[in-house]
Amino acid sequence: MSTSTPQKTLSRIAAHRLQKELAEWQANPPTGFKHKATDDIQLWIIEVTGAPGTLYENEQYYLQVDFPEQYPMEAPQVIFVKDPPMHPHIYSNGHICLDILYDSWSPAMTVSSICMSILSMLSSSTSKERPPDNDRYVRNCRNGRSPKETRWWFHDDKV
Amino acid sequence: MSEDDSTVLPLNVDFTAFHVFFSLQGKEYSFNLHNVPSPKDAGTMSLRDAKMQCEPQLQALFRGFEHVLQQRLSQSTDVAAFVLEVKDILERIIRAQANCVLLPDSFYSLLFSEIEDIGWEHISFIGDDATALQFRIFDIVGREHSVRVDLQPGYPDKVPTISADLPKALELNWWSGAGLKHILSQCRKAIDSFQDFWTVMEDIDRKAWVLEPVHPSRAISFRRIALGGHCSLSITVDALSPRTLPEYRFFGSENSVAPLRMRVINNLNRWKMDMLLLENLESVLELVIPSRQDIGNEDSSADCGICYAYFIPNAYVTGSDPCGEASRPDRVCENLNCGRTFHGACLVEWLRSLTTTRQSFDVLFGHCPYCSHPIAVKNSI
Repeated sequence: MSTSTPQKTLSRIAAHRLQKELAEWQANPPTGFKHKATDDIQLWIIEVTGAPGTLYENEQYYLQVDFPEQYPMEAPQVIFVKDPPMHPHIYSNGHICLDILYDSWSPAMTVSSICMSILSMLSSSTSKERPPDNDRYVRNCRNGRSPKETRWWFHDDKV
Repeated sequence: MSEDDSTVLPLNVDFTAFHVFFSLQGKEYSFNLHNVPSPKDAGTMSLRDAKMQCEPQLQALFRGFEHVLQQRLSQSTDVAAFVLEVKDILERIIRAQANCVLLPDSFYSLLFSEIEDIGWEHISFIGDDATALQFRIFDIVGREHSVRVDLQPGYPDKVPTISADLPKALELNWWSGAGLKHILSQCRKAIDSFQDFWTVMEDIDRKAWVLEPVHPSRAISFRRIALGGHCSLSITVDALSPRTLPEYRFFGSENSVAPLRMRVINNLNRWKMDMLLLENLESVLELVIPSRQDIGNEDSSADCGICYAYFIPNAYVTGSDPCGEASRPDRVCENLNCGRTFHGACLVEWLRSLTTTRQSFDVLFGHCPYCSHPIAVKNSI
């Protein structure tokens, strides 16, 4: 029998809220998203399928959602993993330039509502290209910096 | 025995690892359980191979009892059962520190002759040294009541203390020569006097959506019931006169609650003493009080919009009363179209994390996380 100390865990508030969000997700999963099984409730992997009639139709991408101990007072860290979609607001290291993930986060939002925002961001794209400052940004993030430490300046709200 | 308030949180979607929080005698503990057989694997449902990881405090308490835990693990068929075992073991470990001293023989011979007299069928529990007893009493409609009797060392000269699940404390009438059978008959009488109170309360519990208390006991005359549309009503029923207008208070945004308050005042003449309390409330408020099924689980309008709980998960409220006034969602967004409710503490925590929040004296001014309507909350919750 092992009696070692568990690793850093969510606050009880966060644990309770995530449990409810997961239950709600399982009852009503947002269209186009699939929650992939992981060993950790604090780290969700979500499969995204591009919406029909858009540039990303039927393409599969993976989001990684990492919940901080103080969730929902603090936003989750959301990035694309594996091959991030080509999009003017998505960097090649998976970081997403989307205000609700940073400055505009509010505890009224949920993983589901974030997913919807990301899908609508993908759907409204008119060209598959990287942000203009992609190389510089990705170089600056090489030491594994979290996108939450970036001082974002949100390009526009058209895409 | 404490009520079971443990939280079992799955750590993965296969349900093979869990994080368990529980509290015992006012203290919180937690542990992790790994390698639990997945519910998908039919057949052996035993936690035999599961691994338990304890926080240091708990680990220290269990030192020397690891083999007992291991044995209980292999006997438990699911996590919930194991949590109960863990609490049971911990309770025994804590209690074992207090010694058990037996009383003189004369005490026991008197006690057992008294029990013979009233009949063993009325006793549902006897403590280790027989100074604590529990009576089981059935009332006229068949409700089962438990009354705990604690005998003092000088019994029968010293008055025993009794605790029963009654809305008003029972004052024991005691004289020299009184014994267990007199306690029993006084308890019966008290129980009979609250029959109408329980009829009224059970009607509420059955038909309305009771937000509080979560597990109403027969002693509790307080209820908070959902009215729908982010409003709720709390009432304290008079146990001796349960069909009169109770003390009441509305919760919700001022816009939706003010008309309800007016209706109570204007419609008081409709109150009929021969109707049940809930029927009277419906007639006075001119609305149908919704049941849990009517509102449905998705519209958890009563829960805090930040932490999604009704009672605040005990993290920043560390006072002596974790389920007290401050731990309920009592802050309401005054925007009529929003009306979300929050715990004061959650709202403070959120507003403090924003640079746009202003503070004047002890009040934080910010915006509702849902609709951005201005909202204010006292900082010192």
